[in-house]
Amino acid sequence: MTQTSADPAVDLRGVGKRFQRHTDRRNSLKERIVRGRARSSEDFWAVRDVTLQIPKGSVYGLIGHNGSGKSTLLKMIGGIYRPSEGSITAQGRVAALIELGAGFHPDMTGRENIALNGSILGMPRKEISAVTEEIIEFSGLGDFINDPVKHYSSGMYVRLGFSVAVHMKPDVLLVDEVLAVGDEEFQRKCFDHLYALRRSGRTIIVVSHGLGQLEGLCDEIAWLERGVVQEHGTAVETIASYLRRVNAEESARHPMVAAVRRLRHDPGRPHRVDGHHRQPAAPRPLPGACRYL
Amino acid sequence: MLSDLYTRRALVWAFANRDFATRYRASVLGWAWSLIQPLATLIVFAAVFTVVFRIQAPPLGNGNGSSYAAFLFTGLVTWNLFSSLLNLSMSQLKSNGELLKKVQFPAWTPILGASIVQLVQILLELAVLIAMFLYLRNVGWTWILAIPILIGALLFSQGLGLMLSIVNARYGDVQYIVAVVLGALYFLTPVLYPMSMIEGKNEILGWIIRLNPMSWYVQAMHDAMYSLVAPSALVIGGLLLGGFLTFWAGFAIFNRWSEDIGEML
Ligand SMILES: Nc1ncnc2c1ncn2[C@@H]1O[C@H](COP(=O)(O)OP(=O)(O)OP(=O)(O)O)[C@@H](O)[C@H]1O
Ligand SMILES: [Mg+2]
Repeated sequence: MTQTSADPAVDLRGVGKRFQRHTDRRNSLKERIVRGRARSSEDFWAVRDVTLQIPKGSVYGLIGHNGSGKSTLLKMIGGIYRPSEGSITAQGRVAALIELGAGFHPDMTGRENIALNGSILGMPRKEISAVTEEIIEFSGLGDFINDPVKHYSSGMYVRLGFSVAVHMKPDVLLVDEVLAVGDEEFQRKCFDHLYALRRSGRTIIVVSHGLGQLEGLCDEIAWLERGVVQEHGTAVETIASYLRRVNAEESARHPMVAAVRRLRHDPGRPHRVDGHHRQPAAPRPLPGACRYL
Repeated sequence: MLSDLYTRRALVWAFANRDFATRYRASVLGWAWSLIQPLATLIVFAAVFTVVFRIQAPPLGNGNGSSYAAFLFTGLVTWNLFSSLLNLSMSQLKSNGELLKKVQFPAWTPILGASIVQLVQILLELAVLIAMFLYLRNVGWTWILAIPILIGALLFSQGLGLMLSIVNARYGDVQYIVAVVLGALYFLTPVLYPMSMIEGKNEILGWIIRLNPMSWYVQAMHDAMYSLVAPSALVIGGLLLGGFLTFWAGFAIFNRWSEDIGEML
């Protein structure tokens, strides 16, 4: 299933991103004059020396602790950040779902926002009008599509955002922790759609703390630790090593909890791992999704 | 590089549509509100400056006396074009910041979109100005020359706006400096007074005013619309060329500096 194609969809070579830690670093003229150029000691590497080939037509996962550089890496692939070193080559149209509905304007209706969001994501106008009905259908918003989006529930909001983004038919789709939104029904629909995208040869890169979800979805996973790739390989193996590390760290800190857990043969639930808010417990592999695997 | 303007026109248009649709959606009177502000300024200033300061406007082009209100409004429309594009451009990067951090697209597109919407406002003010001159029966062929002058002024303002907006994204204090400079520049542009009041009276002040590019656009508008005399071809060509070069430079600087816009905001 994991094709090692000679021609990867995304080719990362020695990619690094350096940030300056202080937010006031250069945003003020006074600071700049008084302190001169921001000192390099304040720099730190959010991502360092990442070399990965992401095969065409695969689903690739990124895991790691909060602040390990997953979103930063995704933003570099999406062209939002420029790498400080190394090179990134992505083939075809890249769409980043860093946040669903980022471009929505609250006062405009769902329909108007489809047109706006589509243009921002780079869809030609003709293409947008061709898929508008499909997007509305997929979002399942019905008549609400003609209401201003400020009256939408947060789930309705992301439904629309997801629908727009996946219908722009990107060659590479970047998804940052947005799969856990929406209700069960919509989540399944999203998964179905991601599989359909992948079957049509498109590549999907997913960041998530829902390890169970990733295990069912991804072909390969890379595990980032402080910006460096700790391990990469098949989904099952990488997740297992990651969990082993997390559990080892936990037992070093809380021997009692770990002992109890061992007694109960509990390998440590993924939701204990993520510090992320309101991530639902990792669903078992979705039946709807499985048939494509 | 300027060809990007053409290839991304759909996105600029989409932003213009967004701003257009939302700008006055909440208010019943809509665009009427946008005219109240300049008209209120006109009335207050016209009253204060004719009554208190007794400023005498130059003679109208039709030879029928003079109208300080018409003179003032000609300059005001031109100045508003400049200052509104500048301020609007500077605010766009911040107001579209969340988007720029999450989606990759050229950062100048929302700026130009907002300017297109502002263009409607500018045209409305121009319509009022034309109505005023029609009422005064002060009409002439030189009005046509307002078109190249205003195009030059638009390009000049937008170029400066692009430049200042990207500098402001890096150094957040720029907007305060611009506010102060703009406040001073307003009085160093012959909007409230005719140039004839300065010339021959205070050479230094005269030179400062002449060094201010906006003085040239405002004066050319006074000539073409109010006095009905044609500015020389050299002046018109210069204003157009100056506008174009400023826009080109502003666009180039903006593109050069906005590569890291996603992390700057
Ligand atoms: N624009 C920025 N300026 C400075 N530092 C930044 C910037 N963006 C991210 N960072 C830093 O880079 C590091 C990695 O952040 P990133 O958002 O990539 O983490 P993440 O792996 O996505 O974490 P999470 O799981 O919480 O989403 C963090 O220390 C963060 O503070
Ligand atoms: Mg993140």
